[in-house]
Amino acid sequence: MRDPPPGETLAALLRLAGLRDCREEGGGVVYCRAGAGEGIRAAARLHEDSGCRLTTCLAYDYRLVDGSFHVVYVFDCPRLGRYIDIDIAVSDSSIDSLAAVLETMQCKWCEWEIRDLYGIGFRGHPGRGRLVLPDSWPEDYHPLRKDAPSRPPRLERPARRRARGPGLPLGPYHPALHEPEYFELEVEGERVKGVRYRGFFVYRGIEKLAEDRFRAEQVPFLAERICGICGFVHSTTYCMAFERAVGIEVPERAKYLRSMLLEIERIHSHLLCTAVMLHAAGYDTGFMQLMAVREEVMSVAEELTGNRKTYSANTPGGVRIDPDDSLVREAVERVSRAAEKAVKLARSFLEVSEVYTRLEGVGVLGRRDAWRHGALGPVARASGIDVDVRRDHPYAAYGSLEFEVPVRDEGDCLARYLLRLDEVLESASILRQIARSIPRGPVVNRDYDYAELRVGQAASEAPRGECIHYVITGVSGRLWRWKVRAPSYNNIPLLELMLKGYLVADAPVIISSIDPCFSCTDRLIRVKRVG
Amino acid sequence: MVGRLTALLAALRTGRLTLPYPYQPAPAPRSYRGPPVFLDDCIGCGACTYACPAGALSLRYLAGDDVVVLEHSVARCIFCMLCADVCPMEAVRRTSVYELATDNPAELVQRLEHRPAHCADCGAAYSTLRAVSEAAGRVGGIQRYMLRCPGCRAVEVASVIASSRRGGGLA
Ligand code: SF4
Ligand code: SF4
Repeated sequence: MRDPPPGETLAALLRLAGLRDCREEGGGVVYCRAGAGEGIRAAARLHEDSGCRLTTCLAYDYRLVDGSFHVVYVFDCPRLGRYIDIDIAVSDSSIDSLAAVLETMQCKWCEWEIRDLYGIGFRGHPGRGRLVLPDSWPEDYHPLRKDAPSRPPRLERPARRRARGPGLPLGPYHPALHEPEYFELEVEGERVKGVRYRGFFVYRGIEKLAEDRFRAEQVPFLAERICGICGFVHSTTYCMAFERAVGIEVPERAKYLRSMLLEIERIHSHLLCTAVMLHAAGYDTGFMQLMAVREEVMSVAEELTGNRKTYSANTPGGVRIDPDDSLVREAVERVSRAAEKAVKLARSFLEVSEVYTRLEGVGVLGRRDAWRHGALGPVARASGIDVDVRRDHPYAAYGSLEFEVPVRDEGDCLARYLLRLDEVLESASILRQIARSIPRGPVVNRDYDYAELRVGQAASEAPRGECIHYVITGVSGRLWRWKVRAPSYNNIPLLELMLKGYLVADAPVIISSIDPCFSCTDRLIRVKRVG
Repeated sequence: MVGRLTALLAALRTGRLTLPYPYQPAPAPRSYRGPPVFLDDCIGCGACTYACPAGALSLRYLAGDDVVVLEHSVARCIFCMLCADVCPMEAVRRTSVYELATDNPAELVQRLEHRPAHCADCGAAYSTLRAVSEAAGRVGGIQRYMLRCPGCRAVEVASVIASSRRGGGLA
């Protein structure tokens, strides 16, 4: 992947974009500071013709430190193995919108979210109303600002909105996955002509909660609860971001153990997704059989960590489990065998012609759209985009492991289904390598000092795609800013493109084919104030 | 047709997986991380309450400072076992129970009572007798600072500095 010498091309790229004030930090993240106008121009140039693309943007309130808000545009440059962050200090509470220039979904959403939560205006931004907050939320209350009142505002009862035209409601509770999301489909006969999405019903400010009430070493346990399926990805990515921020070396064995749990998690997540796709296509025999095999994977996770899903195994500096070699070998063997069995089953279900026709040629996402709008993970790879954080920006033990990154070109539901099955087999092979080559030694390094106001950014390949955590350390062991960007955040808006032109009855199948995780996207967590 | 046969065969081979639970018990595997129980070895040092990410533990001074209570609430607990990691007395034991539903909320709370240590200067309760004697045991004898509450210790430090100051300033 990295044939041109990275140093040279990186320098050339930064020159081309007009970025002067840049420094590279651990993990291959290049932080650049830029003024508002210059930053947006650089961002537009990077996204258009450089092999890089915008993956997300975020903001933080630094008024107490340097007097301004900051907006950060994060670019993934897979061929250079770098992330480029363009950090723009916003002094007069509004800047030009990058989304207005790029006209892409991921940019529209992340700027929109910043406008809701920080009250930073983006001139020319296409979004109307609210994205994250309820429609009746008061205009002048920006919950993620450091001086936001600690009590939530009293909300007016939302005004009844008249549907714009003949909309067919899908949701808010049950399309494909039983989570709160709402699609309004504009239909002509049985065909979907347009889609409006409303989500974030369960946004509870988990990032704010962490900043206010948790110490940095407690946050992994909160992060793990962002997602009910791939929680370990979140705790790992958070830990890596924090480790980079304060400079903690993680022991080799811990890296392998992290990779092992991450792959186990990918296998059970992909099996769940394929099962749910079959369920959405009306084939519950397939669903049941796959879920039965998946159960074996869950039991192994439980034996390794003490829980089927919430492993609680991460801590800054390493992991909290240290299974002996025979347990690792046995676990890996059981998971790999279950994975192979499940893949065989899942492939055989495609011989049922009703299932096959429900998936084939349905919900096509074109290659160009997938790249520009920031599609991630299996959704991108099934549309011919060859990206995988494990290979492009190696973390945990992936730098020392060999694996293929399956890519398909068709871009339909069938491609996404088959691609995940290929990935399950790759994960099984990664697990076997880990069992063979896991080094001995300590599993955690607690010998570090907390450092204040340091930035760390980490990315990982979650089952659904690239997951990004951005951390700024604060004072007295807390965090100044913690930003979580889950992969479904980029993939969900693309449903608009995927649903258009297909039958209403295909909608649940298409929605489940991107394996959307609404709780990750909304960053749900249930909390109550402690006395 | 072939496809349907494959599925049928798979279903037959899998057989029936549903367990007769709850008519027969289905114990969790030994490795399962259930709620912690707090043993009598606890000295009431409070380390676990500081570590707990879920706010499931508290150390409170009750009855006019006559008793110190360590309280654990299963309802809040996320079974992470950080409390066990930090406990200096190995007084936290992991269990593997999972049938925690109850119609009596009191069953979700575990309490350990301790006798408080009172400050030698101001008399306020600031720790437990067992924590102080454990600390003394570990460093080979009672130290002056162990008998004073954090507030009085701070005052003492300040007055040492003030009394050794030469000239200048107020008082
Ligand atoms: S197990 Fe975790 S959540 Fe429960 S009391 Fe211990 S530290 Fe708190
Ligand atoms: S002795 Fe252990 S259980 Fe008791 S208060 Fe201290 S840390 Fe908690």
